[in-house]
Amino acid sequence: MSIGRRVGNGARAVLPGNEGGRRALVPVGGTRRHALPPRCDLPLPEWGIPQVSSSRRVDAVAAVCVSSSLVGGGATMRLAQRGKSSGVLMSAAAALFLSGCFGAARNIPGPPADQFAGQELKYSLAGTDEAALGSIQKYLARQDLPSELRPGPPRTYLVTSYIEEPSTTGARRVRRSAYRFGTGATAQAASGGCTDVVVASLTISRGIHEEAWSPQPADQSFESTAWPGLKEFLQRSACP
Amino acid sequence: MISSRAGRLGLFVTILAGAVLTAAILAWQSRGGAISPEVVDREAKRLVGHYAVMLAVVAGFYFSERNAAGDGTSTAVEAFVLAMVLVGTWSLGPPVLIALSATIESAMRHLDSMSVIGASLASAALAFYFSRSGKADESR
Repeated sequence: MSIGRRVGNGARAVLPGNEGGRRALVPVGGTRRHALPPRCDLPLPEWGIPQVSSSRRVDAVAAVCVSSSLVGGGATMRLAQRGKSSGVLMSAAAALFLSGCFGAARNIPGPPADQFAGQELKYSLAGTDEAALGSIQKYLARQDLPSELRPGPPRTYLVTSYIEEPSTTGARRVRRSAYRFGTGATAQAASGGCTDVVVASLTISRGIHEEAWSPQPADQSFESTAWPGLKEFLQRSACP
Repeated sequence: MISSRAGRLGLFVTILAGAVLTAAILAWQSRGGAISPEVVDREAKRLVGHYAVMLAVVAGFYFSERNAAGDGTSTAVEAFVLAMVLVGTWSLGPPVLIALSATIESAMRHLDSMSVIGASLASAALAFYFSRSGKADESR
């Protein structure tokens, strides 16, 4: 069982590889800047290319979604003009428009699970692996943040979509963040019906005069807008 | 007619001005992290290659001539104007493209799409003009 620091309502955090006995030094109660250390060891040149292709693929998917939604919405509206139950059909048309536009624009698939480099935070949550990841997934869904389960040895991961970070006035870079939650393997099941969940984050950015997304040193100290709520949820769901 | 020395100097200065202007606009566009340092580094190297072709042609003529070519001679204005238009367009194209394009990558894509034609015409114009002015010097 991992030894970690108990904070607040019972959440414990340890650094991976420190499960043996030495006290972990992860300041769970502090800011995320401390909780998720810099990841300067990322292979920077290799990062730009997959992000660009991923972004283009997303754009293509979004374009198809929006187009089909618009066509479907238009066709439904046409039917509504001819038919009797115009109210219902008009509502359906509006729903199709909205789902296509907003749904496609919102969901930017997250990075591959192995691209989350750097250290991880470990939380001990109540329940089995599936239950722990399920509760996280439900929380993310409530926050309107899509996530994807990626099972497989050695760990089962839950990877969120990229979260577009709000940019400040005059900012010349835009940022995205994604989170990965892992269970199993090194995140060993703790005793007493508890499961260790390791959390890693990835923030990438793009300048306003470039196309490729890449992790920059300045991104490592960036605190995602989603993190405070996420941290609060993990601490609230901690194993008693 | 135009002095060969002035014509050569004008073309050389145009190439240098294009290179300096490109560097300045790239630095201005990338301020505040608007372009990642690694992207700036990569594209700057490509832009150096853009100007290296023309500078190599100019340097080749200067170093190959034993005497100061063009002293007291002149070449046709038409030849100079043609060379200046082609070289000026190819030299000042990159800063204009970088300034007007939304991203550095799109500017470089546009530049790449014209590279074969542009580099050929500019180099040919330079070689033509410098060889003409050199011959004028020899015939004196």
